[in-house]
Amino acid sequence: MSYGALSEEQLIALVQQGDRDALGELYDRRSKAVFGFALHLLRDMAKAEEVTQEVFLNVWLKARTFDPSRGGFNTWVMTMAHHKAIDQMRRIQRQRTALEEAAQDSLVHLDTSSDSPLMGAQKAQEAETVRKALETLPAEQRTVITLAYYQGLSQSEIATRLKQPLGTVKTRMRLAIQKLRVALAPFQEPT
Amino acid sequence: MNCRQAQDLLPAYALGALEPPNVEAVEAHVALCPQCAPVAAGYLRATAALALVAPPTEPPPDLRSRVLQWAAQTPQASPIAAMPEAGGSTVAPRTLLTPWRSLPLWAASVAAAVSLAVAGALLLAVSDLRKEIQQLREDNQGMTETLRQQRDLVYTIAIPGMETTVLRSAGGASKARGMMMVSKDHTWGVVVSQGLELKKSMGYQLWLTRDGQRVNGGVLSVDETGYGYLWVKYPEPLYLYSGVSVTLEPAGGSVWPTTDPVLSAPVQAQ
Repeated sequence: MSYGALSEEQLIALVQQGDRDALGELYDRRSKAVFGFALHLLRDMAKAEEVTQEVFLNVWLKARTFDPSRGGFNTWVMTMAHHKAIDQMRRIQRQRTALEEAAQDSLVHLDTSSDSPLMGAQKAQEAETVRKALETLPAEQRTVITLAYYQGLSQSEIATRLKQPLGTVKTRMRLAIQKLRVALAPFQEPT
Repeated sequence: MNCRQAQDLLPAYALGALEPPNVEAVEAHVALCPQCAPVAAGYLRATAALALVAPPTEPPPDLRSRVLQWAAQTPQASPIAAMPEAGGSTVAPRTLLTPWRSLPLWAASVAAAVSLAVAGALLLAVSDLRKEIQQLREDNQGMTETLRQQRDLVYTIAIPGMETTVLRSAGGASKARGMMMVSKDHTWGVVVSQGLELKKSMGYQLWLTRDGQRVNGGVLSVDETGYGYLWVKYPEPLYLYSGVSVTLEPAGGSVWPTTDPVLSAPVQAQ
């Protein structure tokens, strides 16, 4: 069977039936994005590798629980990658007991100038679009997105960090995510 | 949790910024709510797109083969029981709409409010019933499994030549203890334990130590009383290993230990 011509939804359906070659094809398609994202968040090759491994092991283990109506395969995989990476991040932060250190760096490094030379032009364009979408957010909304998504802080931790009521943080998150839904619509999987 | 509460938490949920108890509550609500599910999916799509800020990077070359090798040795999890379809509440307004058209506006509004309340109550009742049925099924499966384990254990103990080793907690710090019974040829055995604290979304995993490396021996089935049980088919005869240990890991097990052992024992070389 030629897996290259199959969609990711067709591939995950094969994985659900225990097809490891389909898992291999999904790995080939998505592992660079997962590893790159984990590396971007964690800045640690070994930990990024661990996250990537856990994500694809979960794809295998939990394939039968995958529900395409909840956001598509890419959303599923990248959400898992994000959760596992921020779990790692929180573990590291606990070990260091140095949240203060992160506080000095409240904005994530969105500079893509250090990107791998292998990064394709299309990917570079996507990264640039995401960066611009974030830049168009009001500063207070961008900060909560950055602290939550890229630095792994919980909404309560963000409220404490910013000395703002929790309700304010929630409102900023909601407004920001609604704007991002529109700005990043071209990159989102179809409903 | 109702829709208003869920939608209040959904942005933080999609951003991974929700504390664990709320995560479970939101997921439980979204799984059953036809209104909130598409909102959650939309938010998750948007946050997944945020990951594009990172440049794709080639992972280490041997990772692919390790993942596939592990998959070859690991059975997949059973599918979660299908949740009620969103149609449960989308069908109801459609069938109720027609008669409302002949009612005065105020009456139609009252009828709509009552119908929505009834539909909501029904949805909750159905949800509760499903949970109860699922719980009964699980209880029944649990009892059957326990009986089977006990029967197998009795047979195992009766096999001539079985060797027994006691597993102890590190420094005697906890009440946990265990016993490992190994076949005469050291190729298979059974591990039982008691006093292990059952933790949600976590499991107890057996490790076999050899040359300083720990390899997966399987995940114990642990019940709410702390009784754990695992059949083990050793990849190599057990006497080739220097020890065994049990650690607390995420449900389904880890690729390597991520916590300190709660139980351990040395293995006697032959």
